Amino acid sequence: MKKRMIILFKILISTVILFNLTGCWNANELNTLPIVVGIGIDKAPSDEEVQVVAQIIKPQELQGSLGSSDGGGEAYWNLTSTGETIFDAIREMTHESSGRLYTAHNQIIVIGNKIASEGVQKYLDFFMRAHETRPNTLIVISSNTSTEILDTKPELTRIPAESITRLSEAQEIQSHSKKVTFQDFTNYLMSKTTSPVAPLITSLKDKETSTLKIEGMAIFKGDQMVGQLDESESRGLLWVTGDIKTGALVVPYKNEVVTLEIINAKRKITPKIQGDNIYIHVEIKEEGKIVEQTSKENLATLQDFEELKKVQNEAIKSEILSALNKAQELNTDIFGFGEEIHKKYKEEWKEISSNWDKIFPSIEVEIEIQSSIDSTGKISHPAVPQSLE
Amino acid sequence: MFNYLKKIIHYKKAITKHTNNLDDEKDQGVSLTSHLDENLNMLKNILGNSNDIIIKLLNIGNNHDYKGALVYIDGLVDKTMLYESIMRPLQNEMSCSKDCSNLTVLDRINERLLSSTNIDNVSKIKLLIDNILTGNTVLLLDGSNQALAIPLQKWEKRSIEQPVTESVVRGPHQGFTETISTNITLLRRIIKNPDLRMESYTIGDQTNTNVCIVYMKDIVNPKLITEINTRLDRIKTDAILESGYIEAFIEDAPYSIFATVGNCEKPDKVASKILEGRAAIFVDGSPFVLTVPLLFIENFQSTEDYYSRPYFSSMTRLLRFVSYFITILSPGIYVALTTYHQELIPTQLLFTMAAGQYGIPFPSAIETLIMLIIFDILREAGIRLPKPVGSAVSIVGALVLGESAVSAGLISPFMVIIVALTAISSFVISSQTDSAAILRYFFLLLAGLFGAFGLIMGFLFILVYLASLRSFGTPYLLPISPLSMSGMKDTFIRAPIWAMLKRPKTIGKYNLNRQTESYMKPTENNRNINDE
Amino acid sequence: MNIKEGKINNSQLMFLVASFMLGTSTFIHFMDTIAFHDSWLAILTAFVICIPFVLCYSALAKRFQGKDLIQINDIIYGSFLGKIISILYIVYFFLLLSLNLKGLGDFYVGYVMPETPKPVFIIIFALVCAYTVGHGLEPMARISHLTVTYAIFVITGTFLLLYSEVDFTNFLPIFELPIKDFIQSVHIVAAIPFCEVMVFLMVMPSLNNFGEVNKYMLLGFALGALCLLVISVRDTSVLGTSSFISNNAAYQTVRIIEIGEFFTRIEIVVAMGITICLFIKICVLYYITLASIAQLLKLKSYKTLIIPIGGIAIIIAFIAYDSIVSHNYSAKNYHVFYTIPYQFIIPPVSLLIAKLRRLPKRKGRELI
Repeated sequence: MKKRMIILFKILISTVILFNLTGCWNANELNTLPIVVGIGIDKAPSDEEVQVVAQIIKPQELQGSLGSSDGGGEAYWNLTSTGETIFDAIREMTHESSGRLYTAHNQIIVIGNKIASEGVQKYLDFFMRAHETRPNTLIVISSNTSTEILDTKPELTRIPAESITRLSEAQEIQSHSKKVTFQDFTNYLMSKTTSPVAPLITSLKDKETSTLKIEGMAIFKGDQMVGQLDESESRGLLWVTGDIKTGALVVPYKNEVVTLEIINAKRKITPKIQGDNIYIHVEIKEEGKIVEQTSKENLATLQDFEELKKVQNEAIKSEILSALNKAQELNTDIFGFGEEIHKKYKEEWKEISSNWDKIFPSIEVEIEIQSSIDSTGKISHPAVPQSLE
Repeated sequence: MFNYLKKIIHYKKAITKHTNNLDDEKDQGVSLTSHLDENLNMLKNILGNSNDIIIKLLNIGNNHDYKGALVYIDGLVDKTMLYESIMRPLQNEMSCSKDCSNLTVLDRINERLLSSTNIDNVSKIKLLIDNILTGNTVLLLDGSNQALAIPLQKWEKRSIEQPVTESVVRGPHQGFTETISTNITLLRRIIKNPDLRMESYTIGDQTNTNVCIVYMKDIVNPKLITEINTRLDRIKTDAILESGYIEAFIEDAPYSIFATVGNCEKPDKVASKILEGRAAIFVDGSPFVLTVPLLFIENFQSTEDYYSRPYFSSMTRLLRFVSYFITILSPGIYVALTTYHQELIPTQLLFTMAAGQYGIPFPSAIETLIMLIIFDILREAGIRLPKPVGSAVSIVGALVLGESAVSAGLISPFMVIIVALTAISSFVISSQTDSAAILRYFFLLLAGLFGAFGLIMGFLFILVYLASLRSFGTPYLLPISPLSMSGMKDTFIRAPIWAMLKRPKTIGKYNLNRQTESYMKPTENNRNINDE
Repeated sequence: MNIKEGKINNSQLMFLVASFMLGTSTFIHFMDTIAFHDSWLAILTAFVICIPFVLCYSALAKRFQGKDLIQINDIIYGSFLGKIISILYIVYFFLLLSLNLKGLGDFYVGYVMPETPKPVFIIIFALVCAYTVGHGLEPMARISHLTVTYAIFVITGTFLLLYSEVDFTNFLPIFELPIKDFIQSVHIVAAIPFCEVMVFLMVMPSLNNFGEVNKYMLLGFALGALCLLVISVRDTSVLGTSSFISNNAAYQTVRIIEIGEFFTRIEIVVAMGITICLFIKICVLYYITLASIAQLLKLKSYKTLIIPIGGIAIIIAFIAYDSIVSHNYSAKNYHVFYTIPYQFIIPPVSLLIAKLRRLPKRKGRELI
């Protein structure tokens, strides 16, 4: 019994000592934790250093329902600091913020135009290493500086970073751009041939209001931004990469226009090597429906549908071709054709991959489109007087 | 050398034990004399002058030939019966010729006069005392060195009521009472089988409490009964006031926070346990009957599970497991998440939580600790209080501590939700409320110190501990670990009764088959029943 | 606790083996930096190659029923050479114990709680292991099926949740690897998670029935290997090329899960799976280290050894390797060769000698 008491006493003492020694390392109280929801990277004015903007939420301002507490201040705080490297700059922020920045809830990384043109890999290295970075963090490229983007006060949410996230996730509705996550971007950077793309975002400023807009996508060569795709070119890219979800397709038909909604799209890429020539066969299967027509004519006939399909094919093809032309012009394999060849022809790959820059601009792409039109919506005829024939 | 010393010590111990036994025998050995006065003096010496001890001198026989005395304890004896069946026959109807010796008179009284059953002949003074104390009426006769012990017990007792701890909607509503004979009768009423066996004990030097082991002879593991016997024999204590005393003495793991001896208040539950091969220990004075061995899983089973349809029973069974985990882990998880792993909280939720936490002066570990302690105080206050006051306590607790603390900015609203959830869940598994309360603090401590790592380590520790526990030789976590597939039918789900063909593997291994035939399909006749 | 007091049954052995192998899942990821997207092929090949060796271990245990590795060594190689081999084995067991403890600390510091010092994790973990080992083999054998069930649940669950991210073309082109690299990666898989089950030669004597030991040993081995294979397939198909630069692809993969806005950030379930499988593994290693030392020194019980051996193991875990780079380098280049005699040479040779010399001889009912 006495022995047990001694053992218990020892355990007690060690527990007390444990209390003193531990319990502080990783502990952070929620109410003192600066939660970062967005990070922007820019060149510092001095051009030598990098400038980092961190968007920190103010939870006390978030309390209460949205919009009701308009009298209060902003729900976020943009903290800017410069440093030689990203990490340096982020740690410099402790001079101004009330604690170590918590970036595990960072939703978006906005890369300034200058940085993108210079090469992003060295700036993203920190984020890849940091255990806090989530692979789902989105990457967007600013057409100007990232500070400008993160400073734009959104209308529907209270935090800019959140609105950018929503915005880039909403791109799949029109398929004029797509969201690119950190994970995707890492994979792009690791590929020998595929060129990275990322949505391009601009801030449209009026006198009083300013809104954010995603317009097309930025194209990279290696890790440097070399150009951009406009909206229809972006969709051309998405047709080939298979990222089309839905979207509107306006096609001319009999001097009027018909608007088709993309319901479903699939793609198949088959590379072919014949002798020295490399062909890429892109096959796209699309399904659409008529959502709007300007003509007064009844288009719900078999012939019209056949004709419409052809026009639709042409419209899709022209979008793809415009993207392809841009890509070949800039010599950037944004479609991942190189990887497709790699997957099929592993023997030839070594030689092809080393010459890819020479091969890609002149690569022949066959585009085959099989589209169909599914329905005409709630009505079949337009609402015009019908003649009984 | 040490062995030698040990041997000597053992030898000495054995000798003292032996002499102790001799003393016992000597005590018991004092016999009654054939003089009534001497006997009564002896009794008075032992029993003292307590005013509830009644010594009634009377002359026996219609000629008042014999002097005798009735000794009993006031309040333990049925007075009408005493008068009707003892005093009157003794004083009026006894006719005895003078040639009868005093010895045979007693026998004749026993055989002819007294209508009561179970009358014992007692000749030792200690037995006599025991009989008086248990409520028997003792008849002493002058000139006889024997006495008659007549059972005429009757005392105030609680009637059979619905138990407070385990009330059911469907199923028998009666519960055990404080009287062991009533309790055993209740059980007998359910199991009408000659194999239902009982072994009686008297434990407690001062209280002389009746303890009874009940089991089914052809189902139970005989070694289990031997083990219980040895453990009960080992008990050397002065008082057994409740079955909890017995539990404390025969437990496998006396330091454990988990009970390894079960208790329940309902005859049908005890019957089902006995029929699975367990043994029950009835203790006089307690409506709580002990059952051994106890499995951890039994805390999650309720009698009503078996009386309602299997789907709903299975659902409630799963709910109980979920509640158990919620009640022991949720404060810990909350603290781990808010102080160490904010990364794991979904972003929008984190914003809301951060907003709720804004301005709270305590770290969340301390906040949780305070709230848990307050909850435990409220609960303890509520249990002991009379019902009308109890509701007042809960109003004060809910309003003052919940509402005001949040609006005063002392406690975050999330904390109140967590504590309320913990509290409600803890009542779902009523038999594990005690261990859960301790585990909750244990996990809170670990989470406050080491976050998720602490929680995982604590969980593993508890798991290993449970896996190493045994209750009367049966692994405590039984159907789960070691895994028993047939036991799984009655663990996380409750299979239909007809599908549970076997008794629990380890407990009922001597007679595994519960039923041979499973559910029979309706006969062809079934369709035609309503035809005519 | 007598050395061989606790008895386990065949299915417990099976789950112990599977759990033991799953415990290694985090540590073999450096193999991906060699095999890239062909690592599933390496795992499959290694599995096939290792089957005869696993059968050889169980055959050895079955032949010398109730005798552990140390006793077998004594019987086969005589008391002098046998003792030397046994000591070498004990060093090997001990090293495995320390390295796995270190691996646990690395995992927690690297991914879960980066600011906490590593010793905290190692010491607390070792304490719980010591407590478990103090209860003998039974408790860990009894919870092993729970850990395996949990692991399988997590693996299949995450696979289903990640279904939309899975891209099986990430495996193309199949077998792009130079044959030399392929052999190296097969060797790593064979030596580190697979044939480490050799240590069960110290556990198998506690079986209560040797009849089907081959079958259950193989089943456990196959179960563990299958889980590792599925993990590897999941990681590569979800992460693609970036899994090859990740230090812990399994963890990174699960971080991707995002169903709606709420069902996300559930990587802790993987951390938990890794911890509990590693717990079983370290407990088994701890147990066999203690049991073999006790057997070598002819102690009745190993209880007195728990604290000293644990303490030394913890300290070695602190000081072994100054960086994760040197750890991976040595695992890749030295450790796999260091284990060759223990896993691939001595057990088959023992079995061969036993067959040739018709060991074990029987004296009455005792094996000698």
